[in-house]
Amino acid sequence: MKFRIRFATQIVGAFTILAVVFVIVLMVAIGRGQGWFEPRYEYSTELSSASGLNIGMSVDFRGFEVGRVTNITLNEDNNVDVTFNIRERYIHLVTKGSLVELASNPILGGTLVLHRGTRSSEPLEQFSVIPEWNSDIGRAIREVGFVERSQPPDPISTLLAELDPLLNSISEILGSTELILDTLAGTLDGTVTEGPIAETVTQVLSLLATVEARLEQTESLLAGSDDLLVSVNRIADNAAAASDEFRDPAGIVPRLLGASGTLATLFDDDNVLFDEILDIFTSINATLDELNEVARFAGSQTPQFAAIIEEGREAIIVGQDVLTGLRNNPLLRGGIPERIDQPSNVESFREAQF
Amino acid sequence: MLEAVGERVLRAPKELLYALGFMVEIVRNIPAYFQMQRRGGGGGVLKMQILFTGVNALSIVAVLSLAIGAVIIIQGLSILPQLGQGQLIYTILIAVITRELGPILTAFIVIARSGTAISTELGGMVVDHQIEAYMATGLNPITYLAVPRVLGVVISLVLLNIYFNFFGLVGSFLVTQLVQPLALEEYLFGLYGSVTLRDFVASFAKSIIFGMIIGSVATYQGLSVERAGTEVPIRAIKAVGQGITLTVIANAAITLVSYL
Repeated sequence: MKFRIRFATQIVGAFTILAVVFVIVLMVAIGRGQGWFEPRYEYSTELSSASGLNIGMSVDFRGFEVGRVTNITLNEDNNVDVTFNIRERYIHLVTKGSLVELASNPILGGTLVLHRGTRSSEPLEQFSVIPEWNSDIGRAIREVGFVERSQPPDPISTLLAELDPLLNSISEILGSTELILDTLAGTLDGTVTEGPIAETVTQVLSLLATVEARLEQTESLLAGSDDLLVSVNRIADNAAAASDEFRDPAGIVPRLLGASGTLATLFDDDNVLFDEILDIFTSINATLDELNEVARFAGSQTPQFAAIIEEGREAIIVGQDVLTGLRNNPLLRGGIPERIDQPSNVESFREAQF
Repeated sequence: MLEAVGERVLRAPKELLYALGFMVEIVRNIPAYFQMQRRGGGGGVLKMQILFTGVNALSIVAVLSLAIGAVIIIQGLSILPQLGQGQLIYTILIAVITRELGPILTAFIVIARSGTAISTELGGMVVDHQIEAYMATGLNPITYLAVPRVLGVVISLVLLNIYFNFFGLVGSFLVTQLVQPLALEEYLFGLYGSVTLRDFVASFAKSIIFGMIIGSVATYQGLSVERAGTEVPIRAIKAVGQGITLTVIANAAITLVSYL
């Protein structure tokens, strides 16, 4: 008979016993290594957040696991009560002044770090509360030097702690920007009417409307000045015709200076006519002075009017672009559309040659 | 064609229920088997089943687990320290060897070796009318033939899983010494820190459930042979296919439950 068949019972027995022995040895070894059969002492602490904390997390001292987190609950003050145990062989590390610190980061995971108190060498009683490293009591204990740090802070946790406020600030700025853009869009749509941004935009819109009205008034004024210039030209033509009359040998001069001319008659009527003519000339002189003033004013103001109109027109175009840009905000819509530039024939007042 | 498809669809749930009923019948007959064994009958079947399924498969399981364990350690020790995660090697070793590959690979080996053997043997017995002979003499074929085979597969799988862990965790350490020496204390310390009782419980639970599935499917397919000898290999192939499918599904389900 084949050996295996003949001794099947013994082989199966050995096969089974070896496996069972291996399991028992392995269990005992792991149990001893993890302290399954070792008494543990329970302590607790209070943390502000359970983020990164979980049941079964190790309690470390200088890289050694000295205990485990056993329970996490939210207390009445909205803080987190953490219960953990310490193995008997490490109980001497839990002394008066001891602190715990949650060292947790998303890359390397986390541990609850035990910092040994230096105030006394007597172990703390079981179920005592051990303050957290960053709590008020923890800070006070650190300031008076009753605790020694068991291991340096985790660099990733430190980095994340510094990064966290920065990210919060960026988040707040983005939130504010979004609110402003929403308000601007709402104001332009007419759905939002209150608030500083809405008031500012409303004021800008009313200012642009006022500028537009002023420009319309200026345009009508300029239209009136054209009529004035026509009148002045007509007067100048009349003056030229009069001058031609004076130069004509058979014109007004012989008629005035002749024997039976107007001047002779003038000198023979006791200065009545002369006085009337003098009054007329005085009136004409005054009128001409006024006309001269008006013509000079109109002549000097025309380039300024033209420049104001041009600048006003450009201001309206820019204002329209700004409003269009706000309506078509890049974060909201399609941006500022392209505008075909229309150059003006009017020369800028600043470019005038003197 | 439509009729054939309809018949298959309607037959599938019935067959599934029948198979489940067969499995329940096996479990129900386990006490009866032990009673019979106390009276001096049927013990040899269980013993021989463990011998063929467990002891004879030990060599292949040992080689497989040694190789896989050594590869995981060597790869882990060369890659993970570069990422500052050298300690993770022990967690990976436990997860792969103990929780996942140990139960599933031993199950595949047992399906390939013993699943086919059981279904073929029982199929041959049906064709030779031996089952009818057992029934004629008053022996319940489930109690006398199916239960010891299923129990043998379950016990063998659990034991093979333990050996797989032994060779995977301890033996691979020895292999690693040839390539990348590692202190035994450091290795054991890392292993103790990573393994938990839950890992072993999950691993053993898988072995027991896989054993029940493989043994039940193999005996069911073997006893499903009707009269022709040509049905035997067909049933053996079905036993392998169904065994692998159900084992993989059960593995996923148990892993999911163990991580909840």
